[in-house]
Amino acid sequence: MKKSFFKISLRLLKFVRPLVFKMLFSISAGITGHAAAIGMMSAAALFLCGAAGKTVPYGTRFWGYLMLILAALRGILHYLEQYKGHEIAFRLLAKIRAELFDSLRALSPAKLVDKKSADLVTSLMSDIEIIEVFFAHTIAPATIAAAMFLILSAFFTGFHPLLGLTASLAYLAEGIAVPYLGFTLSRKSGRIYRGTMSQLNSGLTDSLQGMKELILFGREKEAFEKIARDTVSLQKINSDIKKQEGFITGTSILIISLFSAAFLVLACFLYKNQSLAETELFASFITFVSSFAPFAALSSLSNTLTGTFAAAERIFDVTDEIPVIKNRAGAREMKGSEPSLECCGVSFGYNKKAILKDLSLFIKPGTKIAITGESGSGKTTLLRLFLRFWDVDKGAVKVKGEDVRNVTLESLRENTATLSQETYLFNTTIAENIALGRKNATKEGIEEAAKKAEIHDFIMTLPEGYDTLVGELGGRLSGGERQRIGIARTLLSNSDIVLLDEMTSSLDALNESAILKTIRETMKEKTVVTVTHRESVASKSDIIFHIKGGIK
Amino acid sequence: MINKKLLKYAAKVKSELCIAVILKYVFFFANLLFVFAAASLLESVLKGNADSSERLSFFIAAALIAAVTRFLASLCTSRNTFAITKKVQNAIRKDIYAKILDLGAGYLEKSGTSQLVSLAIEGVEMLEVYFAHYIPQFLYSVTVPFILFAILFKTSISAPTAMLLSVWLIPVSIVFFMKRAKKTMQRFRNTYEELYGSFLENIQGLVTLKLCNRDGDVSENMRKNSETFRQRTMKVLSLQLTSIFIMDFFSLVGAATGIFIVIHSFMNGNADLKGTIVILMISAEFFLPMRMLGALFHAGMNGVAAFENISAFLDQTSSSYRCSGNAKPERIESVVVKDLTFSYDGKRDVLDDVSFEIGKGESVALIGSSGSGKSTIGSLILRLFDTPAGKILINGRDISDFDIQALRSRIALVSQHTYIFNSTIRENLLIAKSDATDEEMLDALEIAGLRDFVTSLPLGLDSKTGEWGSLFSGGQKQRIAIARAVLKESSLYIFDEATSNLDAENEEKIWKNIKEISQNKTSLIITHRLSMIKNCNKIIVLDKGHIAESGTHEKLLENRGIYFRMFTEQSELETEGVEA
Repeated sequence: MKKSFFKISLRLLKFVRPLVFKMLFSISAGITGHAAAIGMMSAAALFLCGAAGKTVPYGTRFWGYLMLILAALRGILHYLEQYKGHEIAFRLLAKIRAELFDSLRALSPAKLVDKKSADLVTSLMSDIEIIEVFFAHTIAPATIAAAMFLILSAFFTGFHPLLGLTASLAYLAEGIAVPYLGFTLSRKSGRIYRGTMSQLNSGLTDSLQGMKELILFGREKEAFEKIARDTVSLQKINSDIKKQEGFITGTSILIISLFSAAFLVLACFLYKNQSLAETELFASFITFVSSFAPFAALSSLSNTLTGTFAAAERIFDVTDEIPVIKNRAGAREMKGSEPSLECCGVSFGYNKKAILKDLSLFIKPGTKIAITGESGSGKTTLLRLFLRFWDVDKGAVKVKGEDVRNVTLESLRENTATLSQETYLFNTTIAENIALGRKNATKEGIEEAAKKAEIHDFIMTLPEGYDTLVGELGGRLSGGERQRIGIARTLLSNSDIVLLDEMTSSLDALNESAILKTIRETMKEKTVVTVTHRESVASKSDIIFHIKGGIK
Repeated sequence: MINKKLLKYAAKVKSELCIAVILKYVFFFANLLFVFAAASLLESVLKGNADSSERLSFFIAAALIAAVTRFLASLCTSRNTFAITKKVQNAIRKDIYAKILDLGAGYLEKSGTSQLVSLAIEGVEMLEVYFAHYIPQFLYSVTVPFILFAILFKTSISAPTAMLLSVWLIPVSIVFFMKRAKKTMQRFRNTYEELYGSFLENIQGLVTLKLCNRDGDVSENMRKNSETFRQRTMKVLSLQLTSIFIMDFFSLVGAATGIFIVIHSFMNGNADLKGTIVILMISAEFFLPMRMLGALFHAGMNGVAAFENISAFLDQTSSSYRCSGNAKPERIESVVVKDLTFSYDGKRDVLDDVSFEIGKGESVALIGSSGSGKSTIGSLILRLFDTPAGKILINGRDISDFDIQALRSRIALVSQHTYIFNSTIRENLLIAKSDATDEEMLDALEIAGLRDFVTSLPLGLDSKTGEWGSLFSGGQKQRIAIARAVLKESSLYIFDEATSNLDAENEEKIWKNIKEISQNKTSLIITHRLSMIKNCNKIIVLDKGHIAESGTHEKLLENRGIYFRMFTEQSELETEGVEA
């Protein structure tokens, strides 16, 4: 979906709209800041002319004091520009993140369960950073440079049109031509370098991480030799890139030097020609050589534009996506009380592949049923249909006697609880992780759930108990312990429908048996549906449905 | 001690460092040439002199020379910078790799590899920037104000003095300021990372949140937290920006003061016009170097920090192996462990007076709960560490008689975590036997139960294994470990919790493989899964580093000791609920 650059730029700028006043403030501070730094030198020049006996407006002393004032002012203006600029960047970052999160919320859970979702998340995270750089470090410098271009060109034209022309050409060369040259030169080699660099680094990392293995097989010297060879290749490419960079820097300096010289020579001719007074010559030259700062700042910008647009496009693709599964008009809260589950003639497929064909089944309240089948048979999909990840193509899915399409998604999920292969734990306290199971959970409720899940004793061995931050435990929580926290969450929610999706697949045999025992003991009255591919798990349920090729 | 090491690396690039500083001076003098020529021309204009056309020609020539010189200096600088980067990188990496080999696998077993990775990659990068950019800029910034002073003092003493003082006020005031601000900045330093981390995990856990119906709450919290975070960040930012303000202030006001002073001198007839013009034009040069150094300040700090980490690593003393002999065992026929006592940290004994034997062709199981010390025995037989107390005899000779590499080439280890390299299946198998033929590899895969899977892949043996071996499931990774063990042509197998990370189904299958390949081979099976080792020749039960019991499965059951208890517990758990 290639949107035009123009459209993307417009949308990006729309993001800034609420902050436009702050942005203008920052840009103005930037412009006046540069003007102060340049003006300081102009004032110095006029001060000197006055001291040398030439007539200067407002008298000699005036320029001396103005010079000092502008020098002090510059620091303040620079500070203000940077402060506001960063504030804008931060607010924009928060805004983009909030919008992206809300879009993903509306598109979940369906969008985040397929294989590509992990890649999507990774790329979105870095895309946000790229966009932030655009807002924080591209718009303002570019605008400031454009404004200074106009101001300075007008200023020099005021002395003489030829001087104005020379200045404009210098600024265009420095601010546009040189960066563009840098961009074209680095495009190809930059890509190759980055590719090889990341390969080398991951090869090095790979060897270091597997070093023990290599040593035990006696292969460590070979590995280091290979690394040395790869490093040599990388350094060759790096050398070319550095040479290019030196060339660009050199060209930039050359342009400044040559134009500065040309300006003075031109000014001298104009002076000889009586078109320019001495003070004008002196002041304009000193001003000119001090004026390049805003344009030199543009040299690093060019490399990022294509990346920025690509990142923006990816983000807009997500925020523009219209969620298919949402509450229908007239959707009610779920009111049924008997925890039954039913499929009536359900057919479902996606990505043009049929997964379930005309499936019907009824699960009585309180039953423990296992749904088995090979991977790809559709058993997990069936579970997800009960949770309304997607809508069926044909037939109906009913939970507690109501078609899931007629109730709100929120009430559907309040009435069901799910446990999957790995319980996702957030980097907050154990108590908060368990509390996800129920709004306004109480401390007693949490502890009771943990006791039933047989994780309370473990939590009490931790120095901070329930207030221990999960992140700090790091990898020390075993698979079994994580699943028990998940079970505590589920028990806290008190749902009478529990869906287990390959819940013990990442546990070893001993852990699996222990967990299944806990589940059996705590969920006696609930309707429990277990999806599994293992005999050992399925055999513990009352009824087994076997799915093959989408049919029971 | 740290300074000495830093000098050692600096010495390797000393000529490049000199060149870097010299090139900066080349820029400086080229600029000076331009300024003097321009000042001379401007003086003649302001004085209305007749020889201005001569000075004009001189100016044009000087400007062109200066311009070309600076262009060439740029090209040389980038090449020189590259040379420094390359030398530093090579030198430090070489030392790091040598140290890794010196410290051996035992160190890696204890300390893990993540620190190494960050040293070898990020740490080295920081040092590259330190030597290539920070040091030359430092040397230049410190010297050039004095050179300038020497050039200018004929025109005026007070002006350059004022500017010199201002230049030095910059680092002094920044250091002073940083000291006061340090605490505040440290407190809020991690704000940005916290925000990023929490945003990322909210997205990663979004499915969980939706199914628990808590996503709305989280969205609310995110917005609230954002505001708090913003305030914190802006506080830190204002501190950082203040140091930039200090730099701006002293540079510009310092320059302006110097200019003011010299123009006053000129008005009083104490300075000549040309010199005054020079000082006016060159004032920036006083301050630019120090400002650039300020910009590189972080690079400087990071470099020193990185260096301290690398030094600490390089200073580690290796667990000095008692000298190794040269004997190369043909086959390992027997292993005798006698009175073995061992501790990792010198405080707690992990093994205490352990003695047992593994005879030729015997399958010996070593069991115990975690912390009993069983894995350590495997590490010691592989000579990852040396033991001060007790002996290990291989084929009747002390283990230290043997060449370590030769010894290890006769032992195959299948451990709990098998590292799969991010290349191809073939490469991953070749590390076990570098000249293995495709047939040999496929045979090994067959025995490991992975042949069908590999041949079903479009690229077969050349399929990419992915980062952390993502091509394979946990069970399949262990099968690769078994294939490697089979390829290795060893006479002693050590299985160290080889199935601890696998689920029940995979575990059973892998155990079958293990029993097949260890038939008639001398093997040590370390595990806590008792149902799998019933048929071993000897079972040794470790408890807190001692041998509690040993014997065959039947005999140990009769004893009704630790083994009996563990065995009954485990079988109850496994069969429970099946009847229900």
